[in-house]
Amino acid sequence: MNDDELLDYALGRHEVLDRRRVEMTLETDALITERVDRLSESLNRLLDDGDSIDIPADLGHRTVAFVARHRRHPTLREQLPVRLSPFRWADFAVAASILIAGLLTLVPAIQRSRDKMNQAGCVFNLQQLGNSLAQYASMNPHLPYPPSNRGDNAHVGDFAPIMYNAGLLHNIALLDCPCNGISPQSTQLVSFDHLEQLRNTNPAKYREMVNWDYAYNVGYRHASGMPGPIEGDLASSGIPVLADQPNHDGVQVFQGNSPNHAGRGQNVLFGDGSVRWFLTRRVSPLDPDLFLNNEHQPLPGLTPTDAVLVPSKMPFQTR
Amino acid sequence: MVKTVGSQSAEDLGQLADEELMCRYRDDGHADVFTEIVHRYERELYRYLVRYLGDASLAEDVFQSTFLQVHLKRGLFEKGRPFRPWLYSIATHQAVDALRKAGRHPAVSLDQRVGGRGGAEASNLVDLLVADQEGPLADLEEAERRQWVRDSIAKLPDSLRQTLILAYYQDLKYREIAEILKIPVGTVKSRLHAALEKLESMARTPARRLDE
Repeated sequence: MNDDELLDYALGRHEVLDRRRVEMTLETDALITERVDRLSESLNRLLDDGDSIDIPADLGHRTVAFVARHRRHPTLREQLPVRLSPFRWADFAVAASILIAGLLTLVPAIQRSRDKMNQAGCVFNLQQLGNSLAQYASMNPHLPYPPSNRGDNAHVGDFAPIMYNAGLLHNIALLDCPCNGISPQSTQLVSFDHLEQLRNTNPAKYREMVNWDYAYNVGYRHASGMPGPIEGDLASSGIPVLADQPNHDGVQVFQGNSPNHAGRGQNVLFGDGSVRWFLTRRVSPLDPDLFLNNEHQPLPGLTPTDAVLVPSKMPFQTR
Repeated sequence: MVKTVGSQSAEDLGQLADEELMCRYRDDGHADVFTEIVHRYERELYRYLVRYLGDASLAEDVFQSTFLQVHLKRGLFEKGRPFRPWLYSIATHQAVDALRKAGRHPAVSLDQRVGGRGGAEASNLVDLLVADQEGPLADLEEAERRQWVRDSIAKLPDSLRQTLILAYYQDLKYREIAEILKIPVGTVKSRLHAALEKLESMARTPARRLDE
C-alpha cells in the first residue's frame, strides 16, 4: 500500500481503492494502521471547519418561485427552443468554408501537377518516336516516305505504319499526346499493305486509322523540282521532324498554336533528337511557320530549311 | 395533499433517480418535478456555494441563478448523463461569473494552472502530515481552529479551492470533479494534493502564529 493509496483512503476516496485489500493490509500491519490514523487526524485538523453553514429559510421554495417568475415572463432569447443538436448552421458554414477553401487551393494545384505530368508524357512520346526515326534514317537514305506509286493519296499519318513495317514502332500510345484528352481511333498499329487495302475499300476508315496527334515533316522540293523526303544525316540537319499537330479541317491548316496544349504552344522534335517547347509556330529565322511552307501552304517546303509539319490526316501532296 | 404529475404522485417522484427526474422535466416541464430537484439539492449545493464563494448572500443568488439555468438549459441534458456533475458544472460556472462580476477574482478560469510546485508528491505530503502527531494547529481552541480552516481555505488559489471543496466537503468522486472542471482525473488529484500541502504550509508559517 503506497502513500498515494494511503492518502486516498484517509480522504475517503474509496472509489479508486480496492477497499478489501486495504482493510486486510490494515488488519495485518500495525505500522500502516498507525500511519493511517495519524494521517486522518492531521487531515481532520486541517480541513474540519465545523460545518456551521445554515440553510436559509425557504431557499428551495424561493428558488422555485424565482424560476416560475421567469417562466411566466421569459426573455425573447429564453423563448427560443433549446434543443440538443449535434450541429448548428454555423458549424456547417465553417465546415463548408474549410472545404471550399481546401478545394480552391487543391484543385488548381492538382490541375497544374496533371498538366506537368501530361507535358512530360508528350515530350517522352516525341523522344521515343525520335529514337525510332533516327534508327529508320540510319537504315534508309531518308525518313519514312510513301512509295512514289502512291501519288498524292497517301496520308501523312502513313509514317507510322511505315516504321511499323520496318519493326521500329510497336507502341501506338506514343502517337497520342496525353495533353489533349483525345484517344486515337486506332487501338493497334497495322501494316502499310493492310492500310493500302483499306484505303481502296473504306477511305473514311483509312483516314481514321492514320489519324495521330502529331504532325510529320512532309519533306521539301528537291533540285529536280519534285517533292521528296528529308535526306542525309538527320542528326546534323537539326530540322523539325515531328510536332504537336496544328488546328485543321483535313484540307486547310488554321492559324494559332496546336490544340493539343490548349493553344499555349507546341512541342517540336528536331532531327538531333531534342524536343523543345515553342510558344509560337516560328522555330527559326529561316522557317517562320512550322506548319506552312514559305508560300503559306501546308505543302512540302521550298528549300531544305523550309520545314513543313503537316497533320497526319492530310495528304502528303507529293505532286 | 399529494400533488400529481400526470398519473404519478409527488411521493413517487421522490423515488426516482436524479437523471430520470431531469429527463422528465426536460420532456414535460412540470413544475412539481422541478421542485423535487431543487429540494433534493437544496442543502448540498448551497453549502458548496457558500464554501466556494465565502459569502452566504452571494451564494443564495448563485443558487437561484443555477436552477434558473437548469430550467433554461433543460433541453441540453442528455439521457444517460449523470445529473450531479452536470448540476455542479452549471453551479461552478455561475459562481465563477458571480465572483468575476463582484471583482473578487477578475481572471478566474476553471482550467487555470496551479502555481508553484503544483501537484505535490503523495509521499512527501503524507510524511509531512504524519510527522507531527499534534500538528501545528494543536495549540488552537477548537473554535479558533475551525475559523482558521475557513479563512485558510478562502485564501487558497481558486483552482485548488474548487477541487478541495468538491472532493472533501462535497464528497464528489474524482471522475465527477474532472467532468465538472473539464480537467483530467490526474490533474484533480494533483490539485487536491497541492491544496493540502498549501494548507499544511500555511499552518506552519509564523504568520499563522501572529494571527493567534
